[in-house]
This record gives sequence, C-alpha cells and structure tokens, in this order.
Amino acid sequence: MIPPFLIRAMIASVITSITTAILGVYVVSRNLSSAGAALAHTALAGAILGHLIGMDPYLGALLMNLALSIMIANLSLSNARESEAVIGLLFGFSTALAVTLVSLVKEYTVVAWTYLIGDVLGVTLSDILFLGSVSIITINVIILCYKEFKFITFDTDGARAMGLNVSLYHILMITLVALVTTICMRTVGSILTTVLLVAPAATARKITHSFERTIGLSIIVSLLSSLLGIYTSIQLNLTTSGVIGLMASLSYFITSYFVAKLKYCKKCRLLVPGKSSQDLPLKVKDTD
Amino acid sequence: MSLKVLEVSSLTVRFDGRVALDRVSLEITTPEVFCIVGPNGAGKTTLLRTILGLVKPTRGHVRVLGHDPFKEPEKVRRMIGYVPQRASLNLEIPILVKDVVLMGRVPKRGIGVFSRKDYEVAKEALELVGLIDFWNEPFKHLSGGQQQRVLLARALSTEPEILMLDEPFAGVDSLSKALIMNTLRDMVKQGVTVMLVSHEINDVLEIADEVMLLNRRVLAMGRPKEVLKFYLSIAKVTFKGD
Repeated sequence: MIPPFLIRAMIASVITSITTAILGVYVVSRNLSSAGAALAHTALAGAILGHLIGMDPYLGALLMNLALSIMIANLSLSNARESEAVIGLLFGFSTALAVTLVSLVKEYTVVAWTYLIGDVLGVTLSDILFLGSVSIITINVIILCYKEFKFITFDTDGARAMGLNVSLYHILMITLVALVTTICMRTVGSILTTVLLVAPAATARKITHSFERTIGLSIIVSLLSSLLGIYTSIQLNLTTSGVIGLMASLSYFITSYFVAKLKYCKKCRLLVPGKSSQDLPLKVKDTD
Repeated sequence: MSLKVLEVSSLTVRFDGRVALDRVSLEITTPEVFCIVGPNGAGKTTLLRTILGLVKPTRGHVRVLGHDPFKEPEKVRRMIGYVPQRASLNLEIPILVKDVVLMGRVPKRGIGVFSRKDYEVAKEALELVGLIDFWNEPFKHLSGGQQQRVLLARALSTEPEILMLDEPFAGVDSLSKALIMNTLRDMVKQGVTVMLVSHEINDVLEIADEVMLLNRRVLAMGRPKEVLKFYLSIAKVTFKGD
C-alpha cells in the first residue's frame, strides 16, 4: 500500500508540474527566464521575512513576489533595453536580501533548507489545497487569455497596433509567474523553481513547432521528471527536489543532443527519428 | 462633404528633444495606395505609429475616418490592418501559419475561443495571398516572402478599412512582391486604403497612386512620376555636392 505522505507528494507534484509546464512555455518564448529566477529568489526572501515577523511564510513570499512582479512588468514595458540588466540586478538584490534575512533566523539551517530546496514529501492537505487553488486560478487565466498571450508573445508591436492592451496582458503574465514561483517553493524549493519553469518547455520546444503541442509535451516532460524524481529519490535516498531538477534538466540536454538526428514530420507536426531536413536536397515549393 | 479616410495636419513629434517628424501634413480622400518613402530614421514608422495612436505628437492632429486615435484608440486600431516589419517578430515561438493568420481575429473576438466564422475569414485571407496549402505549416519554415504574405493575410483577416504595411518588400523575393502588390491592388478596388512605408523608391513606383518623400519633414508629395523626378533631382544635387 502507498503511504499517505507519498500520495500527497505525488498530487502536489502533479499540480505544480502541470502549472509550471503550461506557464513555462510562455516564460521561455518571451525570454522571461531571468524574471522567473528573480521571482523565485524573491519568494525565498519573502518566506524568510514572513517567518521572522510571524506571518505565514508562503503568504510573505506571495506578497513580496507580487510587489516585485509589478515592478518587473513596469520596467520591461517602460524600458525594454535596460529591463534585462535591471531584472539581473533585482535577482541579485532578492538573493542578497534572502541571505541576510536567513542569518537572523534562530533555526537557521532547517528553515533556510526548507525554502531553498522544498519538501515535497512533507506536504500537508492544506498545502495541497493552496497549491490546487493557485493552479486553478493560473490555468483558468491562461485559458481565458490564451489567444492574447500567444499574440503578444509572437508580435508585441503588431498586437498593440491592432488594439490589444499589451501592458495589461504583460502584467498579468508576470503576476502568474509570481504566483507559480511561490507555490513551487513548497515542492521543489526556490532554487529549483526556475528549472521546473524552464526545462520542460525548452525541451518540448525543441521537438515540435506547434504551440499547443509544445504545451502538451511540456506537461508530459514535467510530469515524468517529477514522478520519476520522487521514485528515484526514495529508492536511492536522495533529496527529492534535487533529483526532480536533475531529471528535468537532463531531459533538455538529451533532447538537444538527439534533435540534430531528427527530421520534421508534417503529419504529426513533431520531430521524429530520421534523416535531418538539413541533409536533404533543397526543395523549393511551387507557390513561392 | 464626404468623410476623409485620413487627415494628418501639421504633425510634429519629438523624442528626447530630437525632432522625429516636423510639421507633416497629408490627406487621403478616396481609397488608394499611398506610399511613404524615406531613408532610415526619416520618421516613416513614427508616422504610422502616430496615426495608430501609439506615439503622442507634440503638435498637430490626426483623424482616421473622422476619429481621433488618441481619444478613441481602440476604435481606430480596429479599423486598421497592420503589417509590422518582420524583424520585430519573435520567431523563437513555436507557431503555425494558421495561428499567425488567426491573430488578426483576436481583437474582434475578445475573450473566448475562435468561432467558425473566424476560421473561414482567416482561410479566405490566406487563400488571397496564395498560401492556403501552408495552413498547418510552421511559420518559421517559410521563406521571407512567404512570411510577409502570411502577415498580410493576418492584416486582411481583421477586415480592415485601412491597411498599413511597414517595409513589406524588405528581403522579399520578386514573386512574393508581385503577389503582395496584386493583393493590395485588389483591396483598393474593394474600397480599402493602403498605406505603405518603404526606404526604397523603386519598390513602390509600380503600385503607388501617391508618394510622399519624407525625411522628418515632407520633401515632396504627389504622383509617383513627379516625385521620382524630384527625387532624382535632389539625388543629382547630393551626388554633385559629394
């Protein structure tokens, strides 16, 4: 019989994997990976601050993340050229803040370790309810704004010229990243949140050219990494979040290696084993 | 008095104290192909963006079919089908041709999924540019000319009253260029006004009804042959001066 803690861990992993996998496709396509990393570390600083002042650490992480997400969104909208540098600076600032705050905590190691690497095997029923609620909100917003998010990701100028409120959708997307990085802290910890947000989507993008299929494959890679990660870590007595992060990262490296040996299949709109299209003689289409 | 398609009056735009557009005026009364030609940094894209209400002018005013783009931005932008420069697109995103064309239906659809009509309009638009067989193809697998035609199809699927194209012939092969020109001509016959920007005067001579020579201010405006004559005369003076 499967012990209850393992069932809860698997449910939590499934919830976080699906949510990060879907949102990750937008994060990777919009080059928001460094913003995701900055938000993950802000969540850490927020959680420790919450712990210090007697607030729920996850609520502290959420509040701090929401504040930073609005700041990042405004910066990237007002000055796109400098936004990458400023996001990098915020990343450093939030990490420095977290490191400084953690030294003020009496139970220094335990607290820091919990937020840094998460504790998926220790999730409670209330944690699952919190994870589930945030995930439902995130996925529903993505479904509602699916077309608009895709449009602004592909062509921000065109979307603005055609009357879309680009600023609103951009702020909404960054806010979702803030929400998801907060919930990920419970399962994989702040350090590995970026991996779960980026690796499955980046892997999926390598083997398909369809946006919908990228989302589908990203979910599969994310679920496999999480569930195999839990199983392997228990079998080998290793840190669960570390193994999940390794699985997700390895999926990207392995795909990158093999993708050169794949060719694009028009029927299934995926890269499948076969001679690479680059090796084939050039075929010019009659319409152009 | 009939409603003017576009009215731009004494438009001045400044960025950080630098003049991008200086007292630019133009008027389009009937559907035609209006081309704006000028070197890089002449303010061509700024003019389009000001007409769309995306750049606020320092002085002057704009009216698009009687509407002020700064008071009614959504209304004005939904009357205009915009084709951006290809360089501004994010080609890293995994996306199919149908996704790109359907984007033209997003402002009209609002929240929710695309309807059958949206798919029909998008397919018709892609048919018009001769790329219906590419409906399910990855966008980045197309040539530059084909991508430009898909972007034109996206603008057509908005069912616009004005089409605005920013450098539509840049890096485009001659066949695609001819197909784009034919489509634009057909659109004018259907009552759509076409406004296009190019840095190369030869690219627009075939298609233009009216040409504006722009270098922050209007240097010349009129029928293509007249403007070309003026263009050659200033080029000659510049050449001699060199």
